[in-house]
Amino acid sequence: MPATLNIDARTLAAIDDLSLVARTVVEGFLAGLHRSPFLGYSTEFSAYRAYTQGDNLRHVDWKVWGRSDELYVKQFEDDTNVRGQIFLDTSASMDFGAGDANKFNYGRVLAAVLAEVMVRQHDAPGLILFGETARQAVPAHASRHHAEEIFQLLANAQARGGTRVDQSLFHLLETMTRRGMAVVISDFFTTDEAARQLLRQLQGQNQEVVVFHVLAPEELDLPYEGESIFQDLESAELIPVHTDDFRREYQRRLAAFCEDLKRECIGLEIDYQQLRTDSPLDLALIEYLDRRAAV
Amino acid sequence: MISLFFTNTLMLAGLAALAIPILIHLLLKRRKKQVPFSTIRFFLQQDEQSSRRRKLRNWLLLALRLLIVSLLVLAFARPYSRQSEASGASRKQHRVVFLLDRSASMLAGGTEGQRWTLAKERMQKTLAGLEADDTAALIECADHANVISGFAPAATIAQVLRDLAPAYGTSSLSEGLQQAVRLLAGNLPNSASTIYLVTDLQKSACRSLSSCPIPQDIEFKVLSVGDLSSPNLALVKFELGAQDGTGPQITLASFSDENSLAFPVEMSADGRPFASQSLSLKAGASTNLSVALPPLTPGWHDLKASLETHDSLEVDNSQYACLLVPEPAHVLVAEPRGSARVFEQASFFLSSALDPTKGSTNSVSGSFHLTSVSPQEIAHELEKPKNEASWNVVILPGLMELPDGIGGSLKAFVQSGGGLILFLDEGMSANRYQSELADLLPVRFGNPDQAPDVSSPWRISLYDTNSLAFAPFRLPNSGDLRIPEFTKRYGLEAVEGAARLAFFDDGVPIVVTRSFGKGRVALVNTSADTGWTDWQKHKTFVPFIHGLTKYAAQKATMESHQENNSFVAGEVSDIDLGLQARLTQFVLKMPDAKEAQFTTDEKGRLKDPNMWLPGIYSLRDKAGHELRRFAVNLPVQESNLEALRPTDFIQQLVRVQESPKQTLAAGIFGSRNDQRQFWTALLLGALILLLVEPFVANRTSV
Repeated sequence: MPATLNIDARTLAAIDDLSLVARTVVEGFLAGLHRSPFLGYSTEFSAYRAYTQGDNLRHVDWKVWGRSDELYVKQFEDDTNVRGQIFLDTSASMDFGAGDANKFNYGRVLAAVLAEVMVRQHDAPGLILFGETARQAVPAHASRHHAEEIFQLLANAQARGGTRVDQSLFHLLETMTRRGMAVVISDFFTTDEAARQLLRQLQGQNQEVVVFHVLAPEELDLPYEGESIFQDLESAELIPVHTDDFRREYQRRLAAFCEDLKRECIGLEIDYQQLRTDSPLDLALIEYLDRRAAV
Repeated sequence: MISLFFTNTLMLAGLAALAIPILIHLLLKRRKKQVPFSTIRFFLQQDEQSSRRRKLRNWLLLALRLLIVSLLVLAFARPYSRQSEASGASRKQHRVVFLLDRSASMLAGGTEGQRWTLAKERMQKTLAGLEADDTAALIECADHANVISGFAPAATIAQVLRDLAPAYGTSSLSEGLQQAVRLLAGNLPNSASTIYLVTDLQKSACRSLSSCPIPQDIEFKVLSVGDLSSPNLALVKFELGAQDGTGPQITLASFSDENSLAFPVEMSADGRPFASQSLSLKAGASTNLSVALPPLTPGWHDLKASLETHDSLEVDNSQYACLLVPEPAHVLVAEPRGSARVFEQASFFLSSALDPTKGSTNSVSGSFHLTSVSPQEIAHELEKPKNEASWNVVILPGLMELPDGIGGSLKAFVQSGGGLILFLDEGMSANRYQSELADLLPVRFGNPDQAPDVSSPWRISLYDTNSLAFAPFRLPNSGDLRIPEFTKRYGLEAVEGAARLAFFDDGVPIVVTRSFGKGRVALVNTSADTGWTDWQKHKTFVPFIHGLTKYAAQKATMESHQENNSFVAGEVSDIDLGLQARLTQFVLKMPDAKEAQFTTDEKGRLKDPNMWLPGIYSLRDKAGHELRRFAVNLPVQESNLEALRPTDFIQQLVRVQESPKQTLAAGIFGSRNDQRQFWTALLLGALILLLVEPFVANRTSV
């Protein structure tokens, strides 16, 4: 397990250039590790076996032949890259959280950092933004240039509208035929079962899914006093609430919601990680890398 | 009708401060702000009841704050309610305590009649004036104050009063007042309390009044009976003589401011007058009167002294005493010279001393009953059956010839409780005495002795006045025993166990005694006649012989029977009859001929025999045998009828602001029945609400 790094998303969010942010985060993160977490490139040695006719002579270990007068061939693991699809919720409910702790900003930084990590280990990052509608923003491709494209798109993305999992999103999912990874960054505040359908669909598409449930401190603590009228960011609906009286009940209900989601994830063998937007990104990266190692 | 008033009306302006909590309420009730939130899905099922409760708490908090301000302002305005007496719509219930003086002075007469009768009449009149819902209580003020009846309807008290009689003792009004105040403690709301003191205000009863403070809310009234000054003559003391033969002495006193006219004083024994005298007393003077008692037969006797005059209080015109005359001691004297002339007989002086009227009167005998016989007859007399002769003492003058066998008879006599007195004389044989009376003699004889010179005889120098034989000489000036002269005697040596009661001036004993069996033997080292001494010619001889004979007879003196027989009315508590009388039933016959039965307790005490009526009481056993008599007389102080004016009496009383027992209600609302203060309760309420307010405020935010 890597040592904990304090990668403060709020500080990074102040930097306009998302690629710079992502590189800074990843470099800082890697510098704190004792060994590289990257796996799967073709240089990875696996085992020796006796030479048989037809083997490529490039793979013969001549040092061993010199010592033992026997021909052995070095075997290497498969060097196939992993496609990593990043699903970022762009519904209006994500645009919540005061200042640096805004959920959408936090999600964007997290997506960028994950893309940078994927590019570094020669995986193919892709980005799918889903909200009112779903669109394949950037297809999965393993190149530096491609990552820059993702950063640019994330920088220009805006959170608005509701969360809906419609056919357009399912069409995109059907194209994910290769085994890969899917990272879902969302608050999962949908009025229907859309988000959960998305998770089930991803699981059905043979994807290793990691869920980052992003919540702002205001959502968790409800730090308001007295009576206020709350307006839903997605539906614009208004409701008067006396937070002093209702805080405890609200927190109970929110905890129950999170618990349901987590249980659902566990049922689908999906990794669930709740992220508080005023907390560092370390947890998210560690969670991702652990999962990546299993692919 | 109850009206509400304020002491500080201006303070009510402080009610304007009610605006403060209202302003606070309005200022803190901020406008609701609109907050954009990611989702309202968790708010949709908000409990509406919670909102309603919160609004209710807000109003409650406002009401609480308004109430606190109101209570504080009202408390400082000091409201009080007063019951309007003019309206008369709700009459106060009256609680009346009658304090009735039952002392003997209430029996005195006056210009309006007898005080006791007047007192009862005035009480009945007051009781009749009470309303149906009023209650009254009755406390007697005798030697001790007692509640005769607790609070009851007036008719009940009137019935109790009808049967009440004076108690003849003294009274302490202060003790009665204390009882009355205690009875009225814990004053009921809407009730008025009154103490009626029914008394003659005799000065002696009006002591220590300051020790009993009376709360001011208790009305105090005096129903005074009798006159301020009532002329009165009284017999204040009746003393029996201190010694046998001394007559009783009575003391008379005048409690008038005028000289009295001549009035007769009469003494009677067992109802028969035996002395009468006319006297007059100056204003405020007192005098003693001594009279000789008539001869009285053995047994109990009533003595009464009375004066005849028309004064204010008749009951103190008599004094009573009772007297037990003991049975005479039967003395047997041996007379060896029976044929000689009386004054030449050896026992002449003994007989003259013990029974001077022997054979010359038919009156009651004195303390001694004397019989003279020849020495030879002594044994015969002593051997007679008890029903024929019962001797207490045998006296032997010095006998030249001691009859044979007399020693055995005397020994048996003394052994069984008799007394033997031996004198010595010329020609007696000491050896014969020694051999015949060997066990009885308290001495061993030496040689006869004669004073060396007639001009310097022996004299008595030392004698034991603690012994009954010399008891008559205990008091100063009761006789000088050093005067008699003694010219002859015997040299003596007291035997072991003998007591030497008197000595000559050279140390030789003159009176030696010893106990033998149940009896006593006394030897006097001189002659019974004037052969060896001139003691018989001196006045100390008779009392000595009397004392010695009583000592030998083991008879107590008459005055010992008089102790604890005289009591003061009302002060008789317990009478100790001795352990031999424990748990025994007795009948006590009263002066009014009524009889009461009593049983003594474990210690033989007659508990509270209720002897309050002056006169003679007779205590008998169940068989009717009289055991004791008691005389009960009025207390001296009751004879002085000088009285206080009611105003002077009331001035001496101490009135206090509040009742002695403070109740919680009185502490909060004040102790005045007609006026109730509310500021304390309001302040208390405000303080309690101030304590509650933070709790409500913490649970409520605008």
